[in-house]
Amino acid sequence: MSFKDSTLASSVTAVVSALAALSCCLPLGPFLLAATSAGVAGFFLTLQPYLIAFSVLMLIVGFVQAFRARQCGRRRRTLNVAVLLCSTGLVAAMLFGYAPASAPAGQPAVAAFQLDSFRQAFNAAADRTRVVVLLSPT
Amino acid sequence: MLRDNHDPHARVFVVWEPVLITDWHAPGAGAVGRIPDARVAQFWDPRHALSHAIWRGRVVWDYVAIYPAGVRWGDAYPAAQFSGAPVVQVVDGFRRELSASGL
Repeated sequence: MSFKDSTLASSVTAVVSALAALSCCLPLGPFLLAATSAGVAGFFLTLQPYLIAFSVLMLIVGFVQAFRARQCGRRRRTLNVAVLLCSTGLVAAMLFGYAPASAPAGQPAVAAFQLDSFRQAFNAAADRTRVVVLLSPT
Repeated sequence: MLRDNHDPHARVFVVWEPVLITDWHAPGAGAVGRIPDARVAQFWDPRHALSHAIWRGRVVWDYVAIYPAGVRWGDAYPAAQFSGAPVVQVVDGFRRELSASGL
């Protein structure tokens, strides 16, 4: 595989693994239903941190390959550079999103939803009126 | 709505879940910051666990429900005193029911 090809491959691999890390969250139902199942989505959810780490690693490999290609006097292909930059932007956006947001002052930290602990919190407040709201972040 | 209700004992559970194609990740500071009330607890539910509990495997979102004091979640998710979606279409009824609940 040439430097050009390996740079492109690293970028694409980074994006694919990043997308795999997100597959549990992306509502691609009609498209994914044919190819996957809830179990597979759950599998990717479990692997999310590793896939994100793999994405970062592949980006690093991509940059190293691009740098080495330049040292060898080869001309960079515009497509390679574009894919590498797009991959970097995509992975950076996902890394930014992976970090949990801070809750507003006075509220507990935004928690990963667990049905049992939510049920306990719901019942613990059974002496008062409760409001439950389900929202999409965007 | 919460600004209009001053009962310090009220409890509000806000559960964020991915529904739209743009919901790539957990809610950011911009989303959770829209609900700054101290009576609120916010959650991120990427697997739609609560949705499925409420509506047997389907995804319910842009949804609001009121549970009066005394209602407990036992084996099955409890029936709400008031519930509806999308919020923009049920907001008037929601306000009325919230007032009737003493909030």
